[in-house]
Amino acid sequence: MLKSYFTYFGQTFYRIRLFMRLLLNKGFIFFVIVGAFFSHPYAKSQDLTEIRIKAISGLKYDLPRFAVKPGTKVKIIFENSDEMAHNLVFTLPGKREEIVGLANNLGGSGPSMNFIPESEAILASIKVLNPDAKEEIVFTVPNEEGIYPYVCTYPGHGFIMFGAMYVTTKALPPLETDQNVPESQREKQEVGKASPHPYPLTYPIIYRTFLPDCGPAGIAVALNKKVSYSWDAGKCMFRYAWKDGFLDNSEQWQAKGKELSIIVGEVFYKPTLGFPFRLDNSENEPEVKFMGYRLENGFPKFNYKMGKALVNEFIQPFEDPNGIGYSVQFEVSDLDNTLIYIADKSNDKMEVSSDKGKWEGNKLYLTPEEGKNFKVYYKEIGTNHHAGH
Amino acid sequence: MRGIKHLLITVLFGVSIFSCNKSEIIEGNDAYNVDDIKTPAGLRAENGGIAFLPDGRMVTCFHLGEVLIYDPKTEEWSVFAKGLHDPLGVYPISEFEMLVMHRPELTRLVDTDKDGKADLYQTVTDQFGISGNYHEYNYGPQPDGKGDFFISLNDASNGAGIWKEVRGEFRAEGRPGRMYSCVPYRGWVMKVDAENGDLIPWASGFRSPNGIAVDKSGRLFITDNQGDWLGTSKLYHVEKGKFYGHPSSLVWEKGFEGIDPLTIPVPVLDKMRQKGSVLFPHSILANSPTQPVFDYTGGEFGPFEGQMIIGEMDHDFLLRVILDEVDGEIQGACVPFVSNQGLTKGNNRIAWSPDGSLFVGKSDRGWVGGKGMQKISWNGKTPMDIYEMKLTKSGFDISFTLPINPESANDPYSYTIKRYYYKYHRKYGSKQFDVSEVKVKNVMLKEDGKGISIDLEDLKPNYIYELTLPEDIKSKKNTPINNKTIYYTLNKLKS
Repeated sequence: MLKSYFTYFGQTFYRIRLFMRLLLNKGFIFFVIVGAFFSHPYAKSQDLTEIRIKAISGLKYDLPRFAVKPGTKVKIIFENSDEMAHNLVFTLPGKREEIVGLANNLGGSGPSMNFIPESEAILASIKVLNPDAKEEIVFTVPNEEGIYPYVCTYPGHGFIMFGAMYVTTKALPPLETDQNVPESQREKQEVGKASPHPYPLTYPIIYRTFLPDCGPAGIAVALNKKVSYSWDAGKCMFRYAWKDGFLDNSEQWQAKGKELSIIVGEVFYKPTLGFPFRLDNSENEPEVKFMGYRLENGFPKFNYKMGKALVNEFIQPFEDPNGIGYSVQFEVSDLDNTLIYIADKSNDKMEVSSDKGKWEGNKLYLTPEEGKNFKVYYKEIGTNHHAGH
Repeated sequence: MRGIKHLLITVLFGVSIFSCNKSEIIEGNDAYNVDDIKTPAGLRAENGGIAFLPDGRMVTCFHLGEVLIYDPKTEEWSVFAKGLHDPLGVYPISEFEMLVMHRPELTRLVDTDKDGKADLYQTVTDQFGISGNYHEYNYGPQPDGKGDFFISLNDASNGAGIWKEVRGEFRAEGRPGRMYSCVPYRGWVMKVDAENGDLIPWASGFRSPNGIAVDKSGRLFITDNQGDWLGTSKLYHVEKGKFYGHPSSLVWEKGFEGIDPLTIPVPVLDKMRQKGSVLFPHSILANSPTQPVFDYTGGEFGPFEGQMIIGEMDHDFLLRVILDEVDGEIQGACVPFVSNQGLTKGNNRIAWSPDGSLFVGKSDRGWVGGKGMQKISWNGKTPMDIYEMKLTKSGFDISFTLPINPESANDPYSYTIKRYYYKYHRKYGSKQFDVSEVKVKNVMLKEDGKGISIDLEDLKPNYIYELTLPEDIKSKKNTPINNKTIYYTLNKLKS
């Protein structure tokens, strides 16, 4: 296995770095011996090891650790890819916290000193870089083997934003137990089934979150283990249903909330005809206003205004031996005229039916009286058959 | 009971001041106890809001959407609501009805069957835009003292784009910029009509207004974070219809339709804007100020009654703000508060418990910060500290919490005053400009023994005055001072 990684060698410097990263992340035995390993003339003529470190979102360096042989001349290329300012300070072994403490105590003179205190325990440093700035430094690492921390001494950052330069010819400890690397950058722990909340998760489950293919005011509901759906509180409408899973919120919940929740499972129905109701023989979508939802047996019953009509929309699981699906109960009050409900029937695996009204193509016509309480059933047919293969 | 304690403290203070019965006061700079609140197992304790029910129970919300109730007497937690999207503020109307500000809406949570859990999630307002940009955090609701509420809406960040589908009207002219406002009322503080949920645009020009407070007399204060257009973090005194400096929000100002605010010349914006009342020198005092509160505990939280306390994300202290009204305009000074007492970082929310202790909720969100909750209570000692700093015609009056040792304070050469300003510009942050020392002409001790008057050779507006007291200044009983340096924002000279 190790041998196959060696085929990466002798090509480009960048690849070698990738290789290093790969080994680092896997916690493999390795050393970087410049010159001995490098057959690349460019690398050799430089006679130094190039290390790229980026400051990234979440108070992290993208490179949590690296190793070099004692006495190696290194070129550190530091790039700030984050949204805030960071510096990079290499210290003597065991001196990280001391230097961070000194930096925090610089007070008013901190900014002009780039928050880098004067200390013999500092091996090398790169000043505070603003977002997108880049700077490099060349120095020779000590001949003494040891773990030389690097850290951002910008006030407050140093307690979590650091890494380790191993000056050694020996194997590194496994990343997941390496105390010289911030906890968040040790090997990712497998996410278990444990609830991310201080209570057990039981169906139905509701999350307001950022969802793909939905407006930003999303609602995700797991009806049960089999069926989940998304509902758009901005547009007051159902967006899609999926099966055999719910959400992976880990990225959305990570730090600032940039990433969307990930749909786990398979989307089996995604209507594309827009808002489903038409009022008063109009072709246009009525104006809507989201009023909220009430929990009934844990299931949300959405409430919204549509024109001057008031709607309750209640989605519940609906199963029979031939397929999985859900039912939608609507209660529309204050109707003056026929209510038209439009269902996307283009998906031939979906069987759409209702307990009231008259279908004409994909339109369901309901009298004001029928509109007060009717149900539409959505069933994916042939599910069991497909599951058998 | 509380009334009696209150009265007792007032009496004690009265005695100490007027009859100099010093034995009544215990001096000590370790005047606050900081205790960790044990949060329930399984909770990611990134706090978004804290408020108290009259019976002393705490209502609080967290990053992963939970609204929990904590009973300090039993130290037990219960779940009131769940599944909200990054709630950043909670306000209990009663134990059965709470308002929560989260990403998509201001929601009223109602426990209609009184089983301790909300079963009705009612939209109070969603009449503001969401572009899908992660930075569009929403803060509040803060009661305005007259029955309505304030909320504030964060700008989006160019750290990410927007979605194909947004909620609310999209205006392309609001899209440029580091922090931007392309959907309605980003960068605004809004008033929510409690009766009908109507959302009224109140003031514009904010970037990350993660802290709203209203004082006893109904004045609105908002903190904002250093970044583009904010050379340093600051506290604003916010009045209706005014503009506070971050231009992106102007996209939603009447009469600015179709104008990219970034094309407005900076000197024009500078004339339009209201200045920060109190500036917090960046990274020295604050990087991300958060929740302000006023100490209206009647002395139950120590000697700083009436002053403002603000949370801060990046430091292991809070900020104590001393407001100074100069010819009708509010400016003032700031010092660190509850330093070295065990407080940790990430102080996103602070709120008074009915017993006069201050509860603190932590967060980080991928920035500097922390997790968990702490409780700060006064232990009865009087710290030796700057009590107030007020502008005079020729300098400043400084008063202390305790009588000072006159010899430690009377040498004018042992005081240093530096002044500087932060530039108003599009760039992210600012260095300190025109840093210079101001000569101290004279220092006079006040007759009550608890203050000094400093005359300066020169006073100029629009600077921060950084005053450092003599190295060995101490109380009469030789307690060294807690804060030697204080930062006064001088916008207006005393006429």
